[in-house]
Amino acid sequence: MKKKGLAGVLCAVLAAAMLAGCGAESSSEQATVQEETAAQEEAETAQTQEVAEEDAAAQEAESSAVQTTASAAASQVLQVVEQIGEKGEEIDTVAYIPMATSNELFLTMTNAFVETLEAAGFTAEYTSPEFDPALQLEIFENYVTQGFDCIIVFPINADSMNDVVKDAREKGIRVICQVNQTEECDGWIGSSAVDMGIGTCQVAVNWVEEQFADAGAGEVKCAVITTRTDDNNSTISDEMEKIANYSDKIEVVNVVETTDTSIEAGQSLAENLYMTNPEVNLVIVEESDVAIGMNAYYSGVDSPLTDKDNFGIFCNNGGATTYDLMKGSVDNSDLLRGISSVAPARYGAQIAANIVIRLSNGEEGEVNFEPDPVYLVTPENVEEFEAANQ
Amino acid sequence: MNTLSQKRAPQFNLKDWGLVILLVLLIVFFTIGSPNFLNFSNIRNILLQNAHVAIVSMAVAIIMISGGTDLSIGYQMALASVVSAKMMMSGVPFPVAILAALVITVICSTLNELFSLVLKGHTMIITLGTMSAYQGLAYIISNAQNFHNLPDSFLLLGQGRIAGVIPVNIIIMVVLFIITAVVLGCTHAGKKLYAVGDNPEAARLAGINVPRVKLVAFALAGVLTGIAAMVLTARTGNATATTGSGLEFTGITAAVLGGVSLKGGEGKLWRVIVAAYILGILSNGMQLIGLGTYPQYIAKGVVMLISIGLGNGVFSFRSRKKSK
Repeated sequence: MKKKGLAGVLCAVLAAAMLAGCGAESSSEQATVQEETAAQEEAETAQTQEVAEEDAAAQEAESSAVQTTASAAASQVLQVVEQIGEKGEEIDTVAYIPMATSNELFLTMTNAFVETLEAAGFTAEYTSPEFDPALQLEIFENYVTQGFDCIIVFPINADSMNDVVKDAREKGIRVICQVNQTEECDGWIGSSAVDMGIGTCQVAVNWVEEQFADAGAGEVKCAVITTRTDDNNSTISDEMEKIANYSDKIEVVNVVETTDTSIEAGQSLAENLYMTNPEVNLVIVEESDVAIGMNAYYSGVDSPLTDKDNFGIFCNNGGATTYDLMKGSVDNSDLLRGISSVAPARYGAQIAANIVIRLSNGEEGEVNFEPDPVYLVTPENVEEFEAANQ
Repeated sequence: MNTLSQKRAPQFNLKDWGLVILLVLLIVFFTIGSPNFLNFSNIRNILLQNAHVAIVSMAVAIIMISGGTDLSIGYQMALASVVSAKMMMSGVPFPVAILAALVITVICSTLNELFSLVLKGHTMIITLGTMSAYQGLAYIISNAQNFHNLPDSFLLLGQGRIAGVIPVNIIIMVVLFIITAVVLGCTHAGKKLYAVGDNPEAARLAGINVPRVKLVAFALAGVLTGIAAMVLTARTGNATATTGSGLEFTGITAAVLGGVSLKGGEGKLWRVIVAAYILGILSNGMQLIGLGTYPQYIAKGVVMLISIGLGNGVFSFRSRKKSK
């Protein structure tokens, strides 16, 4: 009984603390609050029109950004990247620390980085932390201890790596960041997360405009599946949620966040989404494995869809499986119809190797901080893109 | 008054039926919260989304009743999944591939207990090591590739329906539950398992071959793990080195919530299945009512605490006639 009583008291204290934290006010503060509330209401009325004008301007700017990204990506069909010059004397050994190697995309990227660096004359190796930020820190510090000349790292959490990167650079080790950037580094490679999110929206919008040419406003019902487990995918998710800004035919009817990015989770998510929103015919997904799982449901034996022609799934990045699914979407045997993608692995790896070559030849300062282009991959160009990723 | 003639007062034991009541309450709650919850399609979704979880939970329960713990089940599933998928994509008939998957999981599971016997360590510690090994093997064999385009005949295991209505994987789960429940509850082997888990020394003194019973328990769990791997792979149509990853913890959660003792020797299979579906209903229902990701974690934690209390009889009450 005593233990039950104690547990009950602790629960009551916890609940009371939560309520207090939610902003219970004492009576002596109420008068002040009422005065402040009145003043706030006046200010809010004045601000409403200003905010509306800002929103309109922002939407216009975003539309411009989409057009810029789309035209840039569309015109840069697989920009070829050649090795620039020869390896210099200042760097011999290079370590690569990816986020993980546990899926096709990351493994392809890692292999491409190591092979390209070795082809350029460097001694290269990699160690994967498998999405563990603490382990990634440890791996980085170990490479510093081992005396590697250069470390290329794809930070899982860039903020937590600031100190170790700074220490490494003070010891003369060159550090290049991929995608997520620490406060200081010698070079950066990757695509802008904002561009990636906009690209996902754009490849979906392009399909909507073509497939639903006569559709009225809001006729295409969209579900957005977000993931916010790190800075990069949070930013991409934020941009994806704005898809309705790029086409008035699209109405976002549901936004679902998931932290489980497995294929199986994607399939369950799709089944549940159909329960709540059977009208959805456009799904944009942050994580490619979740998209693969959703495709498994919507195109599978158990699919509830009667009109697969007018259903599409889009995501960002992906590997061999997503390319196969896109090819299958031509005859609706699969419904993943496009992705926005970073540069093919070998192209990205060559960009990284070129940065290392420039650093090895004594180039100082911050080398290469221009974002790589985002590519819109569809069934029309997927084979070319896939070949570049071999 | 003669006390022997006094009838025993009726007693309602929440420990046995509390989980069922919680299940019903959750169904009522989500039915009120979402008009899409209580319909045939969604109930069928819940059953088939968690069929493989229920099978894994049965495997975990058997191991825990025997006094052990296996943290490598998820990676056993991954290994079985990628090996069988690779075989099927090489043209091997799917029944042979499925058989290979079962052999792999039986070997892996049995090895866990063998290492425990030989190295004289608890299986929880042993499987901390073997899980890494099985994970590495799965990645090496698959080369981190995703195997899809599996044969349609194989996919029927996870996506097919009997008479167009009842999913095949649910039938598989129900059949396995019946067989396992009969073995555990009605056979001499089952009674030995409980005895070994409850008090290995007393069981040994009673003439039970404790190591052999434990090995058989792990082997049986391996069979269930392999079947769960095949059901999950067939359901998603994909096999990767992360297939099933983390399911051992879901299975342990379901087993503990279902009243299987961590010390061994105690537990009822039907309560484990109910607990597994409580977890499944939570995931499904919370998405249907639009609860955000992080509030879902809190809700899950609260429900699990209530389940533990119910399972341990904390909230039991009695009705008694007072004697005059």
